[in-house]
Amino acid sequence: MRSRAAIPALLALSGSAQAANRPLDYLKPGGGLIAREIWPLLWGLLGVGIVVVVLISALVLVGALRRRGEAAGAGLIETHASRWIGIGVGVSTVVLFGLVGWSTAITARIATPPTPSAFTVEVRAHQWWWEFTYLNDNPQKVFTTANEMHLPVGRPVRFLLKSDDVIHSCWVPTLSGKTDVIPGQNNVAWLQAERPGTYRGQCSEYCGKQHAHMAFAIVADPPELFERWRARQLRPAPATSGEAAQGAQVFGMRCGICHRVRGGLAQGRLGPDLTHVTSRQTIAAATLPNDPAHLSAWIASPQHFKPGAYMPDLGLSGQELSEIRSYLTTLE
Amino acid sequence: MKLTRWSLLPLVLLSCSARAEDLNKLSQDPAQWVMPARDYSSTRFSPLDQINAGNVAGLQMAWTFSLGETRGQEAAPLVIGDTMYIVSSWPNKVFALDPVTGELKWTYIPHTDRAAQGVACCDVVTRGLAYDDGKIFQVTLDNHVIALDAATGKELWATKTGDINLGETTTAAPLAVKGKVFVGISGGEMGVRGRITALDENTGKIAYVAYGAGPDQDVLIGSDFKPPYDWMKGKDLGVNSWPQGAWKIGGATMWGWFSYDPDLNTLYYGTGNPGPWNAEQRPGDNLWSSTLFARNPENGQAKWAYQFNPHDVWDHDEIQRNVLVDLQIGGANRKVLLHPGRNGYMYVIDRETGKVLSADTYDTVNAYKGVNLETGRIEPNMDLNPSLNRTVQDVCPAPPGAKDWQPTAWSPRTKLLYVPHQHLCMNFKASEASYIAGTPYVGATVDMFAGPGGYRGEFMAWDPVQRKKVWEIHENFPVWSGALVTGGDVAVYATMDRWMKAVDAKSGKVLWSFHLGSGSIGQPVTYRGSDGRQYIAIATGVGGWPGVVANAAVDPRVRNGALGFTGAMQDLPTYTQGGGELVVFALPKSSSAQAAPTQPQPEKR
Amino acid sequence: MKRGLLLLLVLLGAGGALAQQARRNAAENALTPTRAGAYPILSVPVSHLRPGQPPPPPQVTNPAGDDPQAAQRGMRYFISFNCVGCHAPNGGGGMGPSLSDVKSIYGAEPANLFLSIYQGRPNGMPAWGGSLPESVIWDLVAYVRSIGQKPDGNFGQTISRTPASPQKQQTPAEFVQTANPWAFTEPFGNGKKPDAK
Repeated sequence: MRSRAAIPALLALSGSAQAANRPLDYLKPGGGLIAREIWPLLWGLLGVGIVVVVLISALVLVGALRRRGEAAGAGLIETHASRWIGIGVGVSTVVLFGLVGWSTAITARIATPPTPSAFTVEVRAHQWWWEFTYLNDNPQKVFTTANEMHLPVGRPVRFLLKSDDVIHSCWVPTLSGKTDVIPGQNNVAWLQAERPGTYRGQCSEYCGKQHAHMAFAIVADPPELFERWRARQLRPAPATSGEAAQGAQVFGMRCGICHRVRGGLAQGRLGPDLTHVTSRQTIAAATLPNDPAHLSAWIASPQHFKPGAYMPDLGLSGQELSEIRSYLTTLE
Repeated sequence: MKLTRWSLLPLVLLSCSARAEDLNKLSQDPAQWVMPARDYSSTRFSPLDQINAGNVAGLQMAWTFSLGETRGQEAAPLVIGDTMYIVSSWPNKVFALDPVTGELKWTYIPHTDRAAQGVACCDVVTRGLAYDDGKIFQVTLDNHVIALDAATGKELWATKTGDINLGETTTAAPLAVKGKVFVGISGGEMGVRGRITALDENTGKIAYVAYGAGPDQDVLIGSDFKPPYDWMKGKDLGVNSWPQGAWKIGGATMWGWFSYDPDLNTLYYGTGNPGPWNAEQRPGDNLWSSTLFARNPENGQAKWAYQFNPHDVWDHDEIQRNVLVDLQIGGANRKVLLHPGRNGYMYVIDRETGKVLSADTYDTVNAYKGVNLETGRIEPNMDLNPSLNRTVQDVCPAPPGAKDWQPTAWSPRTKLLYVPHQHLCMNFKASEASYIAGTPYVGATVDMFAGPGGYRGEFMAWDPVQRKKVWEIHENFPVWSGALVTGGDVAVYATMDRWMKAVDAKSGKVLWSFHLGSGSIGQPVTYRGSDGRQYIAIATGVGGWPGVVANAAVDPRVRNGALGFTGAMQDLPTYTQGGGELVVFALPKSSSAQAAPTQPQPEKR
Repeated sequence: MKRGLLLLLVLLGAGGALAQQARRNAAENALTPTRAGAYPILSVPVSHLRPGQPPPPPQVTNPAGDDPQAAQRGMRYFISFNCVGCHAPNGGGGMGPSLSDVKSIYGAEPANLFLSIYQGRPNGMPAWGGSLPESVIWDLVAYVRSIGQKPDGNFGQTISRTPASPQKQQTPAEFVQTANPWAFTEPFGNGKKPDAK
């Protein structure tokens, strides 16, 4: 099941190997509509900035190296100086206003999506992971996932950004700019992926000890694949048997106070919703790959990988660990 | 010693079999008080007029009885034949007393689980007993329903109807209707799955359970169900108006009052708030929370339902007393139901169809903008809509609403509804709540305070035909007691700062007041003793949700305590401490001898 | 110069890791038998009445006690595990007793609080020992200790309307969320709306 979801991601990765190696490379126009819009602005401002730095440095150098004798004749200096100041201020003003106008035009253009949003995702930033709730007018079609969200290619998706603790910032460099996530204030953003692929997001406002390990993945799927993914996410957890059933019980006792699995009585909200954890590519906020070995290691000692995170070392026995793992692998 | 008609009643009762009619008839006898609201219509009106507006100023204490507990006492005493029955807060001891002398006849002490105190949201109260066919029915905080022999106190049966490990407690008073005992379940703040349970009066066997949310077959919605408005039509709305699985832990409890109309054979009650308080965790209308149900008591099937507060965001339960009266509205005699909503609206509802006839605010309300009488839907004020971690300020009414559990009284003489209620506003911040079975499931930080004008409670008389307040008395604290009104045109209530008051039912003028031992949140009742004198009885003992700051280990300095009620009640400990006691009043012997005992008159609704 | 700095950093890091390890060991030791076979925490009495002349009770310190983040983590757990539902924000009390003053029924020492959370208490405190790891309970203990206001030195407490006593109330939690709530106070409000923002 996992591999099916991963195929488009792999295709996208092989198509742009460089992007995969540098998932936060915002100097290239990425796969997002917003990223493409702001890319010229980025380079334009950078270019102007470089020109200004070079010009000023050169003038400073010239001024410093010029011999005192050449500056003789006070009247000359005065008349020339005022003219030069006038020219400098004039040119700067024109250039600055031009840039302000340009920036305003572009930010105004990307303030709202060109077509109506496909849907709204409530993005909730926690210390130190991300929660995504797909809103829907039909409450039965609302579901929550963590640290990995899927969206359909070519459709804008609206983000409602909320924080439960401190200020975070949501940034998917190859798709869009940053938007701060502030407790008590609902910020709104949107993004649209133009190409299928996996895009890395990152918290970009220092938010505590594990700020660096607070990343997420956005998987852009072709629409029909996305719909399949959404339908699967809407399913509650399946019934279990054997070791997995044992694991479900241990999970309820040892993990259910913090984690949630839809369909069971584990309804904790401190940690991520794990209803479909096995369908995700990474765990621990895109810190570790999601394979049985890393999953076991993470559950056994989260404090080793993310010291200071709210998930404590539970002191599970080998058997408990194995049972929990086999339960989690049924949550596809 | 006079031999009056009712002293033969125990004998009559022994031969009773068609009970509901008998209990209905029994409730018409002015000498007695056979259910918490006195009658099935929940009027709390007694035709007795020996104590009247002219002589109530001379009211004196007749006798008292300690309930032995210091937590809040919300129970109404019952008077059946020549015995008075009252139940205390946890551990829910039942006492049988002589209504004239106060002599103790028997005591029943149930082994109510000590741990149940830890899952009772708002003090360890109970709201009273039920009686039928020679049996007293009680509920315990740990969810047992017990039948006692009314004469001896002997336990006849005990049935467990809930689990404290799921956060369930039982505080609502039971009611006996047609051979069944109806009980509710509390725990809307604990993620309980709300329901009512009907038990066979004689065996204690559970006849059926009607849930407050879930599939239609659990809610007992079938072919008889005719909701008054289109938006409540559809299959399994108790599932589909919630996110997946949320209805299983979504509250919609019943901790208030049942009313019954024998002519229509319909049982009425309201359900509690949806859980958790943080409404972002439960998008949708959250049916059938905050809903008025009309059911056939025989099989529990719903006849209609009306949801007062779709997708409630303020903990506005609607479990209040529904007073069943017939009124002249628009020139026609209408069978209506009066429901002073926790949301601050006074509803007049057609009790045959569930249609809202009128809904008017009776206290400061800015949380809603009005009730659309076309669609029946209340319009929430979206400017104040709480969203995660955002503090919304000055929201009125606060979570206890404009009126909470307090029983109202209806006088057929003045045609006014007497409503004890509160006047509070709040700041509110929603936060995430984890569901952990047996622990609170709330997700809100609340700070309540006195509403505009600086007073916190009010006792008022409301005219449901003119749709206006006739008079009001402002009180320093929420008026958390019940109300009583009599044929002598005296309305009675008590305050949390220890005052018991009798007022002129027509003008609202305070005619008599008395300083009690502890603040009272009890339900006043009146009866005529075998000596021919009229008595008024009430339980004192401050407590309940607002009162825990004075009767338990709650710090008055931390405003957000007690689910935010501490903020509004922090000076209560400077007025009173807890202390449960039954207090009985009567006119002095000489003056009641002068006032000739009137013959019992057939009561008109 | 550079190498010295690097060495310092490495040492600091190692020191931190060692300290953390030591804390973890201490936390485990509370419930681990000593060589004499006694579990120190089992000898912590709930009552301070001691018949005869028994040996003094063991001193069990909070292994997370010197970690400044412990109370902060404890606050997060306090909210997420619904402690806040009964004991209220900042421990004001409601369904459960208040924690904002230090008259704890079952003792206010770290070991007492640990045991009250671990074992539960008969009047309605659930037993969390099976659900929560010890390190989390110790973080909760650190938080509970930090929200209790220290006693003012008087033997008792006066409650009166005039003059207003208590004189001070705590700033409501919907405005300030902190592990040190008694740093934010205002005059007692008598049920009126608080002024602080």
